[in-house]
Amino acid sequence: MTGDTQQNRIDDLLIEKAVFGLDASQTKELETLIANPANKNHDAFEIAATLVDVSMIKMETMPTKLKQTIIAQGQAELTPRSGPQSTQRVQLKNDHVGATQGSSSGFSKIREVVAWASAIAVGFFAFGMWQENVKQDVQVSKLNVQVSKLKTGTAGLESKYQELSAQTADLQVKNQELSARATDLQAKNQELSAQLFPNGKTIYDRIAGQKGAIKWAWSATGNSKASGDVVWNQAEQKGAMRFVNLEKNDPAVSQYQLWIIEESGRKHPVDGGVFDAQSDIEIFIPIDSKLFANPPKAFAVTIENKHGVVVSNRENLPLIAMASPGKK
Amino acid sequence: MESLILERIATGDSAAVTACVEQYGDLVWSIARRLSFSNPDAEDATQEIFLEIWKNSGKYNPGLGSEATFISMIARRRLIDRIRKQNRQIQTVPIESSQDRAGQADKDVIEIAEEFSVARKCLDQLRPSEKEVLELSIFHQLSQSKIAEQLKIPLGTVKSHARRGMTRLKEMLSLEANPGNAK
Repeated sequence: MTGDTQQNRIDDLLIEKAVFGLDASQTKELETLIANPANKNHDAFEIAATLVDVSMIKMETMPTKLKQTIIAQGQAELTPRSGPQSTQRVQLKNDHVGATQGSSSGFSKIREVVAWASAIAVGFFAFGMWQENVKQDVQVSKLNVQVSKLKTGTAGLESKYQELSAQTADLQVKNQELSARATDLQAKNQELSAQLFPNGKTIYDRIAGQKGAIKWAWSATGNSKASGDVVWNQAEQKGAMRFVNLEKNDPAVSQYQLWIIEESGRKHPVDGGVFDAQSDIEIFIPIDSKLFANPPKAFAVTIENKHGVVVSNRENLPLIAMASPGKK
Repeated sequence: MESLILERIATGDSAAVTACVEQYGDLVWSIARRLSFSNPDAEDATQEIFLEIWKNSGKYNPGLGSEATFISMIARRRLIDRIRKQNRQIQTVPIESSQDRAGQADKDVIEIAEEFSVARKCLDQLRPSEKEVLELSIFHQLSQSKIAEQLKIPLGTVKSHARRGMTRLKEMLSLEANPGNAK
């Protein structure tokens, strides 16, 4: 295989490894090819694939418990690295003892005995020191483990505290947002309700302010002490009534009914809807005309049986409103 | 100048362990979640990946990329090995949320290292056919034959798209990462 062909094959395998993965025979082939020191930069395609892959991931927060476990494992993994140093230190001391032993040869017996005794004494001393060192090392290791555990615990608590603080702040913000939204929705709801189901007062105020709208005062008849007025927009076919001191009715027995008396057109007045008077102070009632009413010449309120009637005999007519002479 | 986290770990600085998990924990977890079959599986894998990071911290060469890239590469290798050992097809959508899941992080991966942002731009510059094959293979872990079946193209075409795409990506990434090399 020529250099170029070999490089192409390596690239093929490296790309396949980075993108699709290799099977056992391909892995072996690649290992053989890249064993040649001339074939460098084996990781380039894998780095490219990793960067592309990771660039598309959605970031997620590691669970706190897992984070704490990994930190504890990592610290435990790093702690034993101090072990071999202690062993080495002890070993060096023993070597030193060995050297002392070697230097005693060639002296007189007495000196030899003294030397041996010294060597033994030094040996005992070294052994004592070694034991002391081992004890100290064990003590230090235990303390290190405790410090690691405390550090992990503190880190865990701090992280939990930060997490909870962040969550609280987040919830507070969300709560404020939701409150603002609720207020906004409430206002919109009221606005929509007013548009969809305007009450008598709203209709009264709107029509009373319109140019060309009718506004006639009620005239009480008989014993009625009621007063007020009626507003009507002919083009819109909408209007409302205002009453003050209109006697309360018992809806189970009788109801008030409005009649629109046309200037010309129908023989009978147009039904303007039934209503109840639940307050004798001031009430506003929208006009609910069932038919298109021609321009009115008067409005009349009668008391009818519950649900009203189609044609009134006008026996009980407490109020009537009509245009003042010369006024429309 | 402050030492790199992996260098500190390699010298036995146990405080760097916390720093490393704080800095790259979410990244590893996100990769593990994407390439695992369940949350417990992702948790096991994440622990394995970090053990490998502690052991290989001394092999990190800043000249070849950022710490985030090195760590991502370790994570991806380990996860792909796990998938192959389990002889299963990975889901192409992330695992559904569970009670243990801490939630979606606020940050985007491109905030962790610039290379990710560059890689995303480079991928967008590839031909649509090359980009499609690489997305299906790298991101969705589909085999060559599955891609050929899905895209209704011959297997050889899948291979050539992958090769051309990867070669262009490698070139573009080295150009953008080291502007001096562009000359």
